[in-house]
Amino acid sequence: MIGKMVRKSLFKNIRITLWTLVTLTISAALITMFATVSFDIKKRMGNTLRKLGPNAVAVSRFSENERPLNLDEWGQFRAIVKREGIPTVELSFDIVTVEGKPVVLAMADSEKLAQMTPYWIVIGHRVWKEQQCLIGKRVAELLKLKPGMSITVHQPSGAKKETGYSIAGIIVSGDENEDRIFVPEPLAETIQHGFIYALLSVPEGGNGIHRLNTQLGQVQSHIEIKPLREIVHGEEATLKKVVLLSSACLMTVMVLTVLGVSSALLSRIVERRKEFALLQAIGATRRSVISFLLLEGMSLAVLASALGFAAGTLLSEMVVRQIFHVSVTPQVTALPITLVVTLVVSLLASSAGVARALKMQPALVLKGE
Amino acid sequence: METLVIAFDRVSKCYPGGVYALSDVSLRIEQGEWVAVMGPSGSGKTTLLNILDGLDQPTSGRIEILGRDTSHFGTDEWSVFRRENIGLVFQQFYLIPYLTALENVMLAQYYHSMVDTKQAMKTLGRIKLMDRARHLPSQLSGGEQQRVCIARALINEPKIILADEPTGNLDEDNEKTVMDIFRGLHSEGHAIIMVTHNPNIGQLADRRIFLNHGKITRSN
Repeated sequence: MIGKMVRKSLFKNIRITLWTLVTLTISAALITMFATVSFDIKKRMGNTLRKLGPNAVAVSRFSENERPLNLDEWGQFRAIVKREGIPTVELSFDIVTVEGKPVVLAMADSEKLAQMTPYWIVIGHRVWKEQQCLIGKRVAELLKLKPGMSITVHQPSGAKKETGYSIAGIIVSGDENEDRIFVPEPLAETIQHGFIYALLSVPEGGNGIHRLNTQLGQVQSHIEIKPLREIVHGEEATLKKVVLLSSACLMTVMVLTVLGVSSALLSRIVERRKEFALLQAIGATRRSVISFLLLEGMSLAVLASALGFAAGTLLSEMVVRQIFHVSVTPQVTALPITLVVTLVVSLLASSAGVARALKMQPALVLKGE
Repeated sequence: METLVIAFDRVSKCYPGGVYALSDVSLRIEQGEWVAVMGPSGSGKTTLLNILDGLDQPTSGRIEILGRDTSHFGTDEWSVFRRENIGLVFQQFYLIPYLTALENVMLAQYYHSMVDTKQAMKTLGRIKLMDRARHLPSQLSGGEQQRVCIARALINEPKIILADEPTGNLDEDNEKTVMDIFRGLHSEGHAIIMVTHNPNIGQLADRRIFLNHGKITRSN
């Protein structure tokens, strides 16, 4: 009986019902969107931030006086990062002389290096070919070099003692790379000499790096992946701020919804005050009246949750596609969250109406006062 | 043997500002008795009825209904007592506009115990409205709406029926129909307390109580 009554009353007061339903649906859609995006945001934002450069470095645990890493050990590291799909660039270093002056020579795959250092400003060409090099800004100033000029590198520890390179570009990075010359060189040829490490762009920041270290530790203990702390902390702080901002927006939406729905429910109750007075007159207890009003609110909340979940999933797809240029993964877990939050919002909003309904004196209302 | 169903002992109702709607009213009504409460507007008739049905509370005095002291009943205690023992008929009918005549009757059943469509239809049959059972109040005439209101009051077989100007909004024909129903209820042994302005209706009652300025001025 009460179910039928709730259904009929919702249809009877269709204007206010629709207003309440629309308000709750918008709230539910935003809750779904924020929940879906929140689930995805670390991954998506992390991926976006990972395009800005490396956040970790893989180094040997051996000290300078101990042996260098061998190819097998390096190969185990490579296998793991390849399996995990983590962008990596390996660099080896040597001290060379150019025009009689000592310079740090860095050897790396040019394309991988370009992917890993998008923050560099390069005057000239970014990706260089064999027998071409990139030189740091300070090296260029020291040796008065420009793109297109040639240099001869004296590498006492290399296979060839002297190698000529033409300059493809000059690096402006704002860090120690401005003191270096970058040349393309297969790692195998240089691994027996000098210092070697790899730059990595690990998704999910500190957690991702920890996971990677654990995997690597199961295979060997000679390579350690260290976070570039400032970057990892910066990313985490950025993510926290984004989540905080989203939460603040969500809270604002919920408060506004409670206010909007409360006023709709309140006017609905004022319009129907004779009905509630009559219910009490024919024997409804205060509890029955509360149940009836809450059931009305809950029915709308459940319907709004379903509609809002569908709309919110679409909305999050649009937002994520617009910002991150990828599809969002629909989150089924967002449905119970949306349902619970919408029910709570509806309960809070209904409570004002319920309080009003209980304050009414049936005798006065039925007398028309 | 006659049984006392209502006993008012020096009941007063004073509204804020010191206005007395009822002043020291004492009254006894027996089982099966039909009492008409009459008097000019503002004399306290409706207040008396509202105190009888528990929708309003007296300021002082003692009230006993069906052997129970109701003076200290709370809101919910009154709701339960009312649905068990009292049927209300209003001048304005007060039907739920989105429920059919049948559902309006069943609503009182729902709050009393459990719904029974057959019994509700039977009650509508009693007031000759079975064919209008599925109609909404807006599809019924004033007389028909009042008959639905009476059916709702009767559905739980109350011992007491309180009616506030039940024919106040009806034309002559409908007034006659409704009063015939009340005559029937009276003959079945229901105690009826009816507020009315109409002396002709008052004549149908066993006893007439005249109120003026909240006091019983005459009873015959």
